[in-house]
Amino acid sequence: MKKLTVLLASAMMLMPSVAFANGNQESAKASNGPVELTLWHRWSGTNGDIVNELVDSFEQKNPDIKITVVPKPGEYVQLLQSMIADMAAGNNPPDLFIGGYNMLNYITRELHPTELKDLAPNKEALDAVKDRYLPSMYQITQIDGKQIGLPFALSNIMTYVNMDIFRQAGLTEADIPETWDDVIRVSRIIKEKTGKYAVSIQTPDTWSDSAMIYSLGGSLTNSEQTKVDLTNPACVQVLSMWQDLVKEGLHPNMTDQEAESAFVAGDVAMRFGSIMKVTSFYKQAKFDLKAEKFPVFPGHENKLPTGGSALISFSKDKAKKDAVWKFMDYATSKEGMTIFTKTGYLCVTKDKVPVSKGQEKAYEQMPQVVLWPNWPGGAAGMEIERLYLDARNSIIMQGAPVKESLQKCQDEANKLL
Amino acid sequence: MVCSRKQNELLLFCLFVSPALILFVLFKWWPILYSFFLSFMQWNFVTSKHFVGLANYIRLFSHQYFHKALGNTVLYILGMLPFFVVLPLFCALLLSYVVRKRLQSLFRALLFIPNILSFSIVCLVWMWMYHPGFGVFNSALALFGIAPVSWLNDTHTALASIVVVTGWKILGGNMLLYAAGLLMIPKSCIEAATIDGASQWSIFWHVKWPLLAPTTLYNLVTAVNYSTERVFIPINVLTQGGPDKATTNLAHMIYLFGFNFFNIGLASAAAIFTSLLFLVVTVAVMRGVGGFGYYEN
Repeated sequence: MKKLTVLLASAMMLMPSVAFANGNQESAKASNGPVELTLWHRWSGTNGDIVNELVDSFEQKNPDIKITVVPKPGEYVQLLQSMIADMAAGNNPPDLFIGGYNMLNYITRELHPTELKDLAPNKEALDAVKDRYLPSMYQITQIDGKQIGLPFALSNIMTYVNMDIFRQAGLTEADIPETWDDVIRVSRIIKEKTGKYAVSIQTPDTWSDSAMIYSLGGSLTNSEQTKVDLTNPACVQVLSMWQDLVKEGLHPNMTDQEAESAFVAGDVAMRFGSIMKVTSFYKQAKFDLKAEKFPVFPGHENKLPTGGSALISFSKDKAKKDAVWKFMDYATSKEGMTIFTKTGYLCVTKDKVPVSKGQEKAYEQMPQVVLWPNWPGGAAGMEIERLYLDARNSIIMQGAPVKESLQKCQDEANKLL
Repeated sequence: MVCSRKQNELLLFCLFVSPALILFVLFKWWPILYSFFLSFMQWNFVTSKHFVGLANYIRLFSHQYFHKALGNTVLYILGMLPFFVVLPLFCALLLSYVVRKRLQSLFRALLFIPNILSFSIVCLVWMWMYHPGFGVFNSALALFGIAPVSWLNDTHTALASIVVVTGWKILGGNMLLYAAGLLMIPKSCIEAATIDGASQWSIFWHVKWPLLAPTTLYNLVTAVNYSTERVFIPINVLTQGGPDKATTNLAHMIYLFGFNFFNIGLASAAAIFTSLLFLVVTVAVMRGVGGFGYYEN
């Protein structure tokens, strides 16, 4: 009995040390071993494999640095949620974080990433990397006057066309829509001739909405970006048009995952979505696929929000900061971009890298690219995003009255500011 | 000497109990107390906490998500009842009449298999079955000339679709509980009723059903728990609470507040309210059924 008592007492004494053994990862780093970094991103499948290829290539050239890749498949907001939850659990933020451009305001103001000038070993090295970018591109990661990272992934919205369905409907490449009027006209022909859905627009966030609304001269906020403005004519017109597409049976009433899989399965003629999908679409599609420019509204020029993400670091330790800089330098070099652009994302730097099949038109659209608008209100913006997406889905999928729903959403959103 | 032995026993008692007690306090009571504390704070995980009094509770009760989530939770509870009580009991009774033991075991295993599958994988499989374009359900409807239904994206069908997925998964486990409950019923009670000339229905209604009360009570409480909390998995995988909040419930609402809006104070207030509601409903269920739940042989 005595032995048992001693055993139990020892186990209890050991318990706290076991429970908290993983508490501080920073101190767990071996002093003489390679510098260990963590890299968080949101990709899976082909794109996740390409990120691994980039990291492997970097590690071969830098055997003194070991990067643990942590994929968190989902949208950028979900990646951010995972990181914040991880930090709240007492873990250190990742050394390298590939965060969406539409999250940069929140990340900068709430999470305080390490500024680029504190990562670079000297001004010459910083300027050398800066020179790789067009000034307008480099400024994407400049928030409140601080350069908080490097632009890394770049995308814009495209029209993917199933040419087999077009041909079944008696249409040719010349009929691929250039304007939204064309989209409606061609969609009706496709529906009538094939019975298939003609068009689906990606819906998980405000990216497609922004592309259409801003291209039509509208906005999601007031000009000072202090209030939500959803009742401007362009906003109402775009959502009315989208609702009509669903009502006419031209656009499927499906979740976004379902709509994308329906397109890949050959059940939808056109899909408006990110160029970052181009590689996986070509891989999966069993039909003649073409990637074309996003349609314009007659009399307007397109303003397409920049999709993609930036390389950001939260490292504070000197050895880690040096290693992070080496990775950033490599990932944005010509060699790094050559590997990464195989995902379908476009090259963010001025380097000429091989153009993947389908990317040509996306590069042609680059002059029309604008910043992906953030909602005002910092943390409140997260709630506003959800309010808007609920209202928008209710309008386009459930047929809710457009003006009234937008007015209600706008009022509720502005109450949060 | 007697006193020393008592002290030793007390020490041993404490030593045996303390590992479980420490874990219970650490992982059950501490989070509850900390949530209660946070429900009076404004906090987003990264900034410092500010005391805001009852503001989070006031905001919660006027929040449009709260009203929808509460209403949906009630619908989930009602929707789950057939899968927690009616169908498992029916299956267990049917199986009890299968004479060949091997066949009985086979049927039980077949019904139980969904229970041991990963819920996320189950959801992904059902997502394909629900697909409006090439899902098996719409293909079946098409045979009768019925137009395709967008099961997960229509406010009229989305919640029911989630209930069916959840029900399919948990039916086998609940059936096993009822099967075990039926085995526990003393044969003498059934034999006595049979000798008295009772019909099969009378035997079920007057003998088996009352003696299955503990199982039924357990399943009712679990149904409330599932509807409030565990159904979060299919909600998050299949619809993320949409379309237009049609499938959100209290657990999903807490997740949204905490990990989507980063409003930990509001999420904590919602969690405290949900816990209290769950406690009240559980006590009401236990008392409402007239103390049934325990019986003595």
